[in-house]
Order: sequence, then structure tokens, then C-alpha cells
Amino acid sequence: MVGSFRGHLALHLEGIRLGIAVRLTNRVDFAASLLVMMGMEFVPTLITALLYGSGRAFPGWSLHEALLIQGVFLVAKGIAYPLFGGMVWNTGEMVRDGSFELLLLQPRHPLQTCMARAFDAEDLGKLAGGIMLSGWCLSRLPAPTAMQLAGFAVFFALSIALFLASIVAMGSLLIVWVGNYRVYEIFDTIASLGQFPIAVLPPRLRGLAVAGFPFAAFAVIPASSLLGRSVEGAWMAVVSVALLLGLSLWFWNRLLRRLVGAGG
Amino acid sequence: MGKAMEVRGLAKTYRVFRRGSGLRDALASLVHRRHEDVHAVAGIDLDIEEGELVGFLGPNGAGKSTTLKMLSGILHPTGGSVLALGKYVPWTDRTEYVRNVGAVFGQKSQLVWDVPPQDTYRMARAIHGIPRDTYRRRLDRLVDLLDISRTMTQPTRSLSLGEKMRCEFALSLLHGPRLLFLDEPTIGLDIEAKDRIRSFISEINAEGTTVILTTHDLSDVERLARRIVVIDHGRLGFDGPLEELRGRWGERKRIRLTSRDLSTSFSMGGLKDVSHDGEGRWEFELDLQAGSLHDVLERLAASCHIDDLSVEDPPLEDAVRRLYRGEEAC
Repeated sequence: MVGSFRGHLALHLEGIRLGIAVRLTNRVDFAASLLVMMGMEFVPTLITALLYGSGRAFPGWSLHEALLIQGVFLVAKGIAYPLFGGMVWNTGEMVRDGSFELLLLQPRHPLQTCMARAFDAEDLGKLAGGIMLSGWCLSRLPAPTAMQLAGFAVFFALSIALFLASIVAMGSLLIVWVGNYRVYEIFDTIASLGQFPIAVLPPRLRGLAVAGFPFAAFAVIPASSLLGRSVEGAWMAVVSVALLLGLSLWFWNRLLRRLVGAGG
Repeated sequence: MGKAMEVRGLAKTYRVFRRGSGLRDALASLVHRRHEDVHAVAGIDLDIEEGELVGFLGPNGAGKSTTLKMLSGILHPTGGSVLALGKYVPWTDRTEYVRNVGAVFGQKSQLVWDVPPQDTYRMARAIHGIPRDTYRRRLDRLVDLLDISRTMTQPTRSLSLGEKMRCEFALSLLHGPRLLFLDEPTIGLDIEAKDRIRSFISEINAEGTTVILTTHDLSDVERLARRIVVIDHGRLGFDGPLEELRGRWGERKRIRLTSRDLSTSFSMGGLKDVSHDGEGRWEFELDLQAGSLHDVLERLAASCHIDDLSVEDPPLEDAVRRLYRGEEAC
């Protein structure tokens, strides 16, 4: 049963159940964190609303279109962070207290066990906020066609894959870069650029946004697809994300091998 | 029964970085890092039969943990071979191998801190893919043996060390391992908790589980292990029965005596005055090759009024201390 799809699903569902149980231990802290987290994530939305309220705008984007990008960003983050985000913190903590190696005593790939045990219910606030914001924006925009919805589904999956690649890469760094949680802050800063239309970026950064570290794939590309707008080089982002995901998994395995090759 | 472990020439060398203290050395280490190779394990040969209970001893930094990490599949060796349970190479067949392996670490909890142990058990069931009825049956038995029916429903953080350790044992055995690694399982426990854990270890070993016990607590070893393996400076310092280790420096007896009128000049061949406190409490060690116990007791009875007297084997600590110091055996 360990290797079957049902076995994998059972493990991750149990991880979700355990994650929720852990967070509900301190209910007040959980509720407060959920609200604070939601509030913090709405800062870019507030800035965007203030910008449009003062008569300015992102070139070529209406207020609701611009806010839809942020809504999609929150939905993707609200799915990726609860499912995988805790891996960064977990890996860092386990490597620091020496319990990371215990993952190797379980009949699973350590990355999977680490991921299954990383569920963080606190981040569900992002998902709730994202759904509300996206729903509100969509109710004020023309309804998307089936083709637009299909395109959105593909690019939304790409967004989740990019979050996963970034989280795995950060977790890897913490295997060797013990206790340095700055990687998380660096990533968050870069990822936050993905909440605004590419048009606001200097021309040199636009290429990077879709083909280098394609932060436009976090939300701009899926939201554009939902709105029926094209993003130049969007398919390049697919290649970039696939490469980044492959690279992050390779990096994780390589650093794990380095760890098991060490003494202690 | 087959072999649980066949270890040949197991070695592990790893590279450690050296840095001096102070700002200058810290800055210099950014440009150039000095390193040296440490031979943590330098060629160990060992056979362990299935169903054995082996006590692993060794001073700190002797290579004991590194050896056990290699045997459990956590670390890859730099040399040598291990065949576990007749068919697994621990570090290459890790996933299959660890299905047969359980581990309890006295200083590293595997229980999730904020929730009751039973939540961690459910996670372990999912990780190991244990069928529901098998899980239920094993858990019921472990709950009964370890007396944790109430404990496992309380948050782990609220449990005493002894309760937590019993829950750790249940966790490590839920998947029915054939091989159990125990690292300091009684550390920090009170006498009663130690006794319960030791009885449990004896019981599961009697049922056929091979147990590899690492400890600094020699009373664990005296109570549980029939065979001792001592690792020192990355090599096998001793491998044999407990009694052989005790007798390695000759057959000895420890004589404790309480007498108010024994002369401080009392001496006999083969008898060493280990201690006396000036209040009539004496401790002698007798080398049975150099003197007879009968003669010593007779001379003592003739020389003083005996208030109390006991004759015991010397403590295991003595033998282990001599081994760690590298004293030559008789």
C-alpha cells in the first residue's frame, strides 16, 4: 500500500489532518494568525486600490483586472503554502535539532515525508482571501469563455508548480545553510513582484519575469489567461518552470546525499 | 534463525572544516577553509544473529553513533559492507530495509509535540502503509504491554519523560520491525520508569525482535544484554559476552566490610584496598588468581570484629573504564 496512489494520498490526507490538529491546539493563536496573515496579504491590494483611487493606473489594466491578478496570486499561494510551505520551516528546524535524519528511517522518500508533515492550516487564510477577492473581481468583469477557463487551469497548475519548485529549493538550502531563514524572506520579496502586471516592470526585467525566474507565472499569466489577454512568451514560462522544478528536486536530492555522506 | 547483520570492514571517513577563533580567522575562513579527514569508523567486522540483544558501548566520539547510523541506513559508509536481515544493504535498499527497522532515540523525540501520541501513530500508519486491522491489533497489544491507554490521548508536551518514552516505544513498533535500534532509551528516567522500559525491551526481544542497544548507562547493559560490543577510536575494542568483559582483567571480587577495629595496615596477597572512609567502612578488591577468597575471609574474621560484610562481582564500570583506557587484558 506504501507505493500505491491510495497509499500516497492516505499519507498526505493524514498529514493534513495532523497539521490541522497541531494548529488547533492553540485556537486563539490560530485564529489571530489566520487573520493577521490574511491582513498582511491584502497590503498590495490596498496599494493597488489607493493607486487607482488617486486616478492613476497600471497601463492597460482596469482596477478589477489588476486586482484579479492579486486574487489569483492569493489563491495559488493559499493552496501551495498550506500544502508545501511548511517544508521550509520544518526542514530548517529538523536539520538544526538533528532530527532530519529520522526521515531516513521511514519507507518513503524523505521529501515526501517532509512535505506530508508540513501542512500549515494557518495559510488557509490566504486561500479564503484569494477566493473572495477573485470572485469579487470576476463578478465585475465579463464572464470567461470555456477556452479561457481551460487556459487558466493549465497556467494555474503552472503557478502551483512554481511555488513548489521555489519551496523545494528553499528547503534544500536549509539542509546545508542551517538555520538561515533569510531565504524565505528573499523568496517572498521576489514572489511579491508577481502580483503586478508585467507592464509596470522595466523592459529588461520583463524577459526575466517570464523566462528567467518566471515570477509572472505566479499570477499574471494565469489571470491574463482567464481574462483572454495574451502574455508574450507565456509558453517560455512553462519551460522555465519545468526546468526550475526539475532543478530544485535534483538540488534537494543532491544535498540529501551530501547529508547522508556526512558523519556525526 | 539467520543473521540480522553481517558487517565487514565498515569504515567511515568524513571531512571536517577547521576554523580558528576571532574575527581574523572568521574572515580568513570565508576565502580559504581548512579541513581535515576524520576516520570516525576504521574497519569494523561484526555478526549479529536474529533475536540477539547486543549492547553497544563506547566513549563519546568513539564512532558508536556513526556505526549505528550506517547500520540503520542513515549514513553511507566510505568503505566495507553490511548485509542486514540476510538481504538488504541498508543505504542502497533503504526504503525496503527500514520497513523492518524500528528506532527509539532517548534524546530525539519522534512524537509530534502539540498533539497526543495517538495522532502521531495514525501518521506512522499512513507512512508505513499498515493495514487498518493489523494496526489496530498491534496498537491494542502495545497499549496493553506499555500501559499507555490514557497517556496516548494526552498532548505529548504534557507527558512525563517516562510516559513519553513508553509512547515512543509503541510508535517504533507499530509497523512490526524485526530489528530495533535503541539509543539511550532510559536516559533521564527514574528507577521505576527504567525498570518498566527494560522489562518491555526484554519481552519484545524474547518474542524474536533483534535489539541493538546503545547506551552509557551500564545498568541497562547489565540488565539486558548478553553480548557487549565496545567501539573505541572507530574500532572494535571488545565483542563478547558480558561475563567475558568482566573477567578480562582477571577474576576479581569486590569485598565490602564494616568493622570498627580493622587495622589500616591489614594486607594480603592479591588484595587491594580500594577505599576506606575512616568510619569503619572498607572496600577491597581481590584478584582471585593471586589470593583465595576463603583465606581472605578467614584472615578478616581473625583480625577484627565484622559488623557487616558482602562479596560481589566488581562493577561493570571498572571493566569498561579499563577498556576505554586501553589497559592490557590478562
